[in-house]
Amino acid sequence: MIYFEILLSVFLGLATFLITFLSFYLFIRKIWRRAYLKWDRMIDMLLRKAIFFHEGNNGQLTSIPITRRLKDNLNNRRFSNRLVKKIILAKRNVSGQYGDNLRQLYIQLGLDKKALRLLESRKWHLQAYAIQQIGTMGLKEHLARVYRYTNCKNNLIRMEAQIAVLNLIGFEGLRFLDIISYQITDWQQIRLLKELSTVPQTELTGIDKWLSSENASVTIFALKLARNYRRYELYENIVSCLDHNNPNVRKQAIATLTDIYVENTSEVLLARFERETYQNQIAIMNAIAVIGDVQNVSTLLSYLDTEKAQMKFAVARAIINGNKTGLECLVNDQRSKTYPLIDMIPQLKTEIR
Amino acid sequence: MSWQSFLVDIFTYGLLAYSVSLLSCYLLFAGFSIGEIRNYLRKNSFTDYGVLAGSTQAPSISILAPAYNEGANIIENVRSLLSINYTNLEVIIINDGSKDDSLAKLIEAYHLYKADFFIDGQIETKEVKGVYRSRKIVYKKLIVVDKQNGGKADALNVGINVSNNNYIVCIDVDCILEQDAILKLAKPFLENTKERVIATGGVIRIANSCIVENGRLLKVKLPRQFLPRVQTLEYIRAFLLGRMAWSRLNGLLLISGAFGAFDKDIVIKCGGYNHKTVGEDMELVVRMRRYMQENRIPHKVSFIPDPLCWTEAPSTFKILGRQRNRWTRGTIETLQMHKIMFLNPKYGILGMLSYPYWLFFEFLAPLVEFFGFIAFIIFACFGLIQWSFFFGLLLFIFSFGFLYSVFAILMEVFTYNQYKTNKNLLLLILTAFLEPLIFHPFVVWSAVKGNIDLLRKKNSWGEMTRQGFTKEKVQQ
Repeated sequence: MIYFEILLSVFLGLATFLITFLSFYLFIRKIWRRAYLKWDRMIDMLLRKAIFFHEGNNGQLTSIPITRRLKDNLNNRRFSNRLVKKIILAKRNVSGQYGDNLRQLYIQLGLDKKALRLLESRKWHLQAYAIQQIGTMGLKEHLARVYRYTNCKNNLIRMEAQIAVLNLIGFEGLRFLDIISYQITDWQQIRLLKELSTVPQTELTGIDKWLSSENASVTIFALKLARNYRRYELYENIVSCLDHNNPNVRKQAIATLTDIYVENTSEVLLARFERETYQNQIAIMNAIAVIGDVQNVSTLLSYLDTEKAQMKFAVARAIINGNKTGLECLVNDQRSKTYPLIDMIPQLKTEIR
Repeated sequence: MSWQSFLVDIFTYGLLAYSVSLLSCYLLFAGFSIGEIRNYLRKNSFTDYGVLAGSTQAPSISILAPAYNEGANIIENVRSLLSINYTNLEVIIINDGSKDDSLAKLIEAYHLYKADFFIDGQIETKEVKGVYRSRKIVYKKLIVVDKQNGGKADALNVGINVSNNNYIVCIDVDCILEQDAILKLAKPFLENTKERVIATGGVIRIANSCIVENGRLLKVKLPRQFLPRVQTLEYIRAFLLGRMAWSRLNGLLLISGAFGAFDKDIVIKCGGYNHKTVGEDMELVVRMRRYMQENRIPHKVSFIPDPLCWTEAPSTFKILGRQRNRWTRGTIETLQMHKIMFLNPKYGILGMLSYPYWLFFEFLAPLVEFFGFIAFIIFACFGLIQWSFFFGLLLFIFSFGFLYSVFAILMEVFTYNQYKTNKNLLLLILTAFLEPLIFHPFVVWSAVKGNIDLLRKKNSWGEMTRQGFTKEKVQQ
């Protein structure tokens, strides 16, 4: 019985402690919220002033006037964090002279030095935050330090460093693909492509090298780059990826060839059809349906003998779109009078381009 | 020592050992979830979901929403789904043989026509009467399937057969989704290179008393009624603490049927939803995981703590009882179907940890509690134990339950803080105090009834009448 009483007291004591802690936290948060409102007004005013700040007569940026109150608040960690977040957000939304002004403000307030100190932190999220700041604020002088992290063991640090180098030096930053030993996740590839779409278009070199990278994710990313930037001169390199031992690379190569194709691309894909995985076979048929230019429909017709309806549907679509006489050939084929082709054809007819 | 007191001692200490094990599990959940949520929030602060929204590289997703007699709100609900910001998306509404005018309303509102549509019947289902598409380009994402009534699992299977995309998101048509819900749910599928993510789930919250307009959540409010409010607390505890902890251990066995995303390829390989159980959501996840384990494919079921989906909770004891009865039957059926996994090292953490936990602490807990309670009353009446001991034990359990709920409230305040005012938090704490006295005994009783109904071979869903969401008052 005594044990129950002890445990009961412990639990109720803990619950009371948690409720007291919660009340205290809510009280403190209320105070913070008031402070945040005041700080937000102060920061917004500063950012407005900085964005529309004019250069001095000699064309050089003079320092942006900063109030004493703001300077005093800079020693407050919460204020400083809030300020950095707002500057970063603003910097992402403006460019040109306005962006340069924000960068000037960031440096003038010594926030770059704070970021460099964070970079030395042992905590991964703080390091990643520092890298994000350096990248967004365009602190090119720290490129070498950031670049070192592009192959870091920690996922988040590595990802932020890769984005940061693109922010700092654009397409040239992709040279981390030469050395990266970790896989680039699909999510990171989407981010990198998005980031590249915002940097000035300069000469993009190295894709050929990355297409033959030992890191499969680098090859996949290179294939996406070739597709996005329509690099027709890499056609042969892309075709060689169709013989890669990783099925995901081959699948991406098929997708890339859907956009970068020549006269005989459909035949090139068809030649590899039988030795492909099921998913890649579907991808080939989908690609042929887009590319067209199939010389010999009979090869495609022979693939209709599959048991799988999904494949049959993809092949039928490829036949119809792959050749001008495709629909006629398909309709004249005896198999089209039976299920499931008889049900597929009406839908496919509505899709004819 | 008489044999009676010997038996009572065995029973008492056995029950005590069971309680201590269960409470230890809860403490471990609390610990694990803190770490998992902290990591998630830190990583999430670097995430710009807008990148995914407009990307053509984003995974293609089909939303599957079965509808049965939803005519009253179907137009708004579909509009809400169509407004989701995601590029590679199709919305499939499956009219599961509704007896009302759901289909007619959809045809009229979205300019639908019966289209020539081949359905690849990879999963066996009831007959599909027709597939409808819109004449308007603005609704090109929408596909409406009309089928014979076959239940939720069958309707979802039809949706899987009709779907053209790589991932499926299964939802209840009356759920309110956050605008970025699909983006958040899609991201885990893109993040892993070592393990294949086969399913993702997110936090479901209670929408009773919240203000909803045109299928969108305008204002979050704590439910005014006691029952939905206590379920709010229950959901916070289950999702923020329980599921996050299991996610960290990669031992999740359940993605809620109201909102979850799945890798379609694996779903089809596993044969889709099982319509022979009322717990089709849990059964599918267990079967998918079992398939992956048996084929030695490294995999993960991911869970994110963001509130992504809002649903209406039962507000009467009658409806709540039916729901909990069904949940109990679903759990038992799933555990029965996959009993091979129990303490089987071949299934890794699923067999050694997740399955035993569900068996001992999700399925057995209400039974142990119910029969233990009755036994203790009998023992006390016959003087085999002291009444003070009985009440001491009861208070011990009560105080732990209260402590755990308060901790969950604290986690909610530290993380998403949906119920911002002090009044709401006070109400939640008061609810946490009352829950073990009113709500919990009822839930235990419903679970016991679920066991009895299962023995009687009852396999119906039970009618789930909804009251509808609160709409914003029009300003005069």
